[in-house]
Amino acid sequence: MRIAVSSDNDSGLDSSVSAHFGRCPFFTVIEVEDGKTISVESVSNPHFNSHTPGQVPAFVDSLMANVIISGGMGRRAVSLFQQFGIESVTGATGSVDRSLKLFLGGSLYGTAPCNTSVAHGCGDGETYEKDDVERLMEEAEGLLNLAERTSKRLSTGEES
Amino acid sequence: MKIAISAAGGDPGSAVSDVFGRCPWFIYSDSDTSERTAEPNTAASLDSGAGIKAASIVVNSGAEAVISGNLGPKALEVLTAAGVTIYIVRESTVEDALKAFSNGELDPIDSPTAAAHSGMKSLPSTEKPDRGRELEELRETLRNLRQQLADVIDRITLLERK
Repeated sequence: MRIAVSSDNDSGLDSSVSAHFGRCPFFTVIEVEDGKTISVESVSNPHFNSHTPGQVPAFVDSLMANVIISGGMGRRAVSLFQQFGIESVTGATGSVDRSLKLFLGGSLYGTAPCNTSVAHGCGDGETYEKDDVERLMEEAEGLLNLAERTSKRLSTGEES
Repeated sequence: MKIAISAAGGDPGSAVSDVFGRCPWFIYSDSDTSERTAEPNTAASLDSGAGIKAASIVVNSGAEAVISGNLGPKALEVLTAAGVTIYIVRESTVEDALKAFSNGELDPIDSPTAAAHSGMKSLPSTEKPDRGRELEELRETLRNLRQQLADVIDRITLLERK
């Protein structure tokens, strides 16, 4: 299975998951087999600054991904990805590694489409059908986790 | 017979309250025994439904008459259905209102003197924007944190590649 994760960085699994599926500078593409990570690569997103509907799904399809994971996605995008046979998963926050683990573990799934936008303008502040506060909490936890992970890299860096 | 009066304070020298649903106190007076009791109005702190709740408190107390400075439509409905007679007295102490009542000087009303929700200082709907604003601010903060973290990650990655 090939999983694409919308990412803010090209730091592989250590990258931050992007809030918006298409307005991300990179996609982290992970090859998974039998629950094990075979490869990880970072790909630049040509549609980072702007995209028309359909461009990002087509691009992710060209990466041969079966799944796209991000922080949020509007209803229209969900169905566009569906047309390419790509499963969309939203609600991811924090590190790519954590989101991958949660997805493989079955606790990150489905899409709660941004109910603020179908046409667009689904900015970074998507609202979800889940409880607002619960959603904020999840985001905060994801960021905290990512911060801890990033901190560890700094300590490792100091030692070398 | 028992009479309930919406009051600004807990003693008979207090003013009759100009609201019913959210009045601070109910003072009960028994015309047979001249007994007086005062109870804080638990309906006053409700987000909504104060009129109905206060009216049912009065009904459950066994009062057959109620005196208030005003009364809204919801409370009126509950009281009337229970057969409680309603009297309006303004700018008076509880004591004086009770005197007027026992002298037969008061006439009952059968329609509300106040619009629904008049007793509220602020309507429930004004609370939502505050919550909405708070949530939006928190989202904004998380957005900024995410951005800062992403920058830190990029810089660490650069360092690692050297």
